[in-house]
Amino acid sequence: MSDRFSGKAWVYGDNVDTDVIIPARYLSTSNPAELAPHCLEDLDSGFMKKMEPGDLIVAGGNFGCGSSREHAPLAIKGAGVSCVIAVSFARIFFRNALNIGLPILECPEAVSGIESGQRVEVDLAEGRILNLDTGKAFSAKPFPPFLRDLVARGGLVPAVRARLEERRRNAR
Amino acid sequence: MDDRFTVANMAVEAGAKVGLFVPDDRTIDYATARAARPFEAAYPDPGASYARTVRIDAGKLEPVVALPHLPSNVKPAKECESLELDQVFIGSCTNGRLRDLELAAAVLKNRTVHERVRLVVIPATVEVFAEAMKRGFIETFIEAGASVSTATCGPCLGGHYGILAPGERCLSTSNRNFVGRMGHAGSEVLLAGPLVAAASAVTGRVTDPRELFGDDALPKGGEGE
Repeated sequence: MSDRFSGKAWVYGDNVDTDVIIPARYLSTSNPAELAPHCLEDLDSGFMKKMEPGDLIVAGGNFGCGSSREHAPLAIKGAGVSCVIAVSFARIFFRNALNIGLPILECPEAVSGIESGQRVEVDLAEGRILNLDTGKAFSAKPFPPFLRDLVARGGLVPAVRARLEERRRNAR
Repeated sequence: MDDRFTVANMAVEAGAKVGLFVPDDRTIDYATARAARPFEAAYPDPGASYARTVRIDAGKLEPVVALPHLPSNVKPAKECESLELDQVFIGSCTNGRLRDLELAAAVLKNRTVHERVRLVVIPATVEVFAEAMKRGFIETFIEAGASVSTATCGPCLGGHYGILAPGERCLSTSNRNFVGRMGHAGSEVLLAGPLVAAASAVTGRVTDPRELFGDDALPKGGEGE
């Protein structure tokens, strides 16, 4: 997975909880492709109709609060969202997102400088966020390399698998 | 212990990474009786410094409810008494322990659930369920008109057993009241403790339990666990 991507931003407010990201009535599966059609259904029923793969979610503070369900980042990733930029993330969602390989960035300045429908470019390694429509650039604190590696490998389980495989190969 | 679990549980809803209590004898006894292996308790260092200290006199708090759709949207229960209810849920990991059921049973003893209201009671664990049976709480719930289930997750997250229809309003002792949390996105969830929940089930609207009991006669409950 690349460290750079661009797409349209879809902007939401504070406290976007995991129940509106993926309602519990769909939790009978953890298949991202089956969860995706219901992503953000109870917050913005038009989201999946208007978004295109590669688009970004931009939101206020405490994104992903509530239930610890990893289905929430899985639904967002399954929908094809390339990155979530928020003022802040709820603790459990923050780690769930990284663990399933969903890129996220915390950047309050970017959130106030991006409107719904504007095109945004993100460089994860640099933590650089560029509003392509206004030309304004913002910098988020980039994640340390080991966390970027985790996301790039698709999450915690694939990353650990790869590390174990590497260790096995070196032991031979 | 029962009340500490509730506070620790809700601390996370308030944005904390974790809600911890410094272990005392009661904690150690509780853990020792259940631990599968020897353990070492963790304590703060002597003279530990804290980024911020907030002191709350729990004895001065009054009964409150959290209105839709955030746990922090809190109002005194007596300011919300015009809100009529379709369902009351007493249970969950937040408030389904023995002391919670004891308080609810004290309110519901010789009272009847309002005709409009479905009251769902679900003990948090099999252990709690069995003890609540022995102490007669379950019988009290059934006689009051409640529906009692075996220990399970369920209505709190709109899983099963009391899923809300469009336009319905539920008062719940669980921990979250987000949009669509307990069913249809057009339903509403209010959060409260077991005393407010049981009193509200009787009147059919949000009720400060002091309305039924008066200030001094409020059930205190035993030690619980």
